[in-house]
Amino acid sequence: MKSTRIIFGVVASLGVAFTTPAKAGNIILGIGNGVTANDPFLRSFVAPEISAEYRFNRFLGVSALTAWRPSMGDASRNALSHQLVNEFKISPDFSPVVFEGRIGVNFLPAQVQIGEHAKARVGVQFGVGTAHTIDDLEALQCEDDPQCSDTQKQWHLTAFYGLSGEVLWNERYGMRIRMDRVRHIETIDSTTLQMKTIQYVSADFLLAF
Amino acid sequence: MQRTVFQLVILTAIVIPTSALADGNEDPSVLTETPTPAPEGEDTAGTERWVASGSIGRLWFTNSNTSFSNRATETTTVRLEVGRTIGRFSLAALGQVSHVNGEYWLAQSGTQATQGDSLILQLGISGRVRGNLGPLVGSVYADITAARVPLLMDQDWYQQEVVEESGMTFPMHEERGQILKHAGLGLGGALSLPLFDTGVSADAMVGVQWITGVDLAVQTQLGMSATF
Repeated sequence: MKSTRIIFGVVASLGVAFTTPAKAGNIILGIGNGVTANDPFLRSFVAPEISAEYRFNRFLGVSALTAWRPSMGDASRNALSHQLVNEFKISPDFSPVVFEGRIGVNFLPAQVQIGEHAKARVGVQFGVGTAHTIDDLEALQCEDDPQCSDTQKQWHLTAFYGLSGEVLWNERYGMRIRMDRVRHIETIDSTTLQMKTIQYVSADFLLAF
Repeated sequence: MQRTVFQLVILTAIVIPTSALADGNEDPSVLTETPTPAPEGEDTAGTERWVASGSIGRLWFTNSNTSFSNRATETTTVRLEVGRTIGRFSLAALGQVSHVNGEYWLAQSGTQATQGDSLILQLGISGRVRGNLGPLVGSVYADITAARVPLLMDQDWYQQEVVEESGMTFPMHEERGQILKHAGLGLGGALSLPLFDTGVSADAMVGVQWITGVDLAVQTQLGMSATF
């Protein structure tokens, strides 16, 4: 199931990347997939994302990114989570991010020419955004508790920073890998606050307009 | 520890390849239609440009004001600025988001009822004066902001369990419908390393940040800025 989604995502990304007419310019669209790299309780699952960036010059740009991280319920829990919930009746913090949006500023001062046309760039990005979380009340073992369900669905303000590397193999197409750390404060059971730092790793195909 | 290593990797990844590879021999056909901006350290007296900066760092609370900072174990601050420079002076819009990792509200003691983990939002303006310091660019800055520390937990629970049960007063968080409760004042200095002819520089900032009703903090930031 997971591999099928990955293949579908990659094929769809390739299809969009190579059939869209574009010419060299300062607007760059990205489409790809990301995974959550550091959640101890949830499996990393496919998260399609779309980004748009405007570059003022070769070294500076502003960007917006949206990512959908579908929750697959029980399938999202890893072996540790199953053991904690089913055997020990302990409730880890199950509050996956299902949607995310970010806006930020990108700096790309490190560049190297590869061959005649291709170019590689490394940069950093900083910014703010929003994250929508939906608590897994079954895993939290508080399905019938109104206090718990009051904060089941929440929007959070986030702040992020990260590293990106991209290869533009001609004036239209490229590929990028991003690693971002995104912070927000989660409210569980209406009363418990927990700061979360989620690390996302994503790979995008780039289109330059 | 992991966060520190991650930040060091980012800065190392930027500075080392740039110094080794930025030789100006670049293919103009690959997204290079716009002109190269002026170097950061160049004397640009009278030249008006846009400037943007972003940085990551933390607030080190000094415990001078309230019991809040006794329970703030870790803070991450993302700071963004966009503005105009004229010669050595710049004025920028400033946004700053700080996530404060605090102790659980049940464990608190002191005079000020806080919810534990907190978010500090600041929006304001920042002025800066720059000067050349050999290969580096030094600057001093001052900023003034409106600040929020919004209540993130259920307000009724907070009022009944955290404020009334604990006997503490003077809650610092904005209540329902309340927009602003705090102001921030920042002063400090920064050193910038211009990264060759890119118009981008790597920055290190140290300053103090006083947020009324919260605390006085030392602020340290690492980041990048660019003129265009």
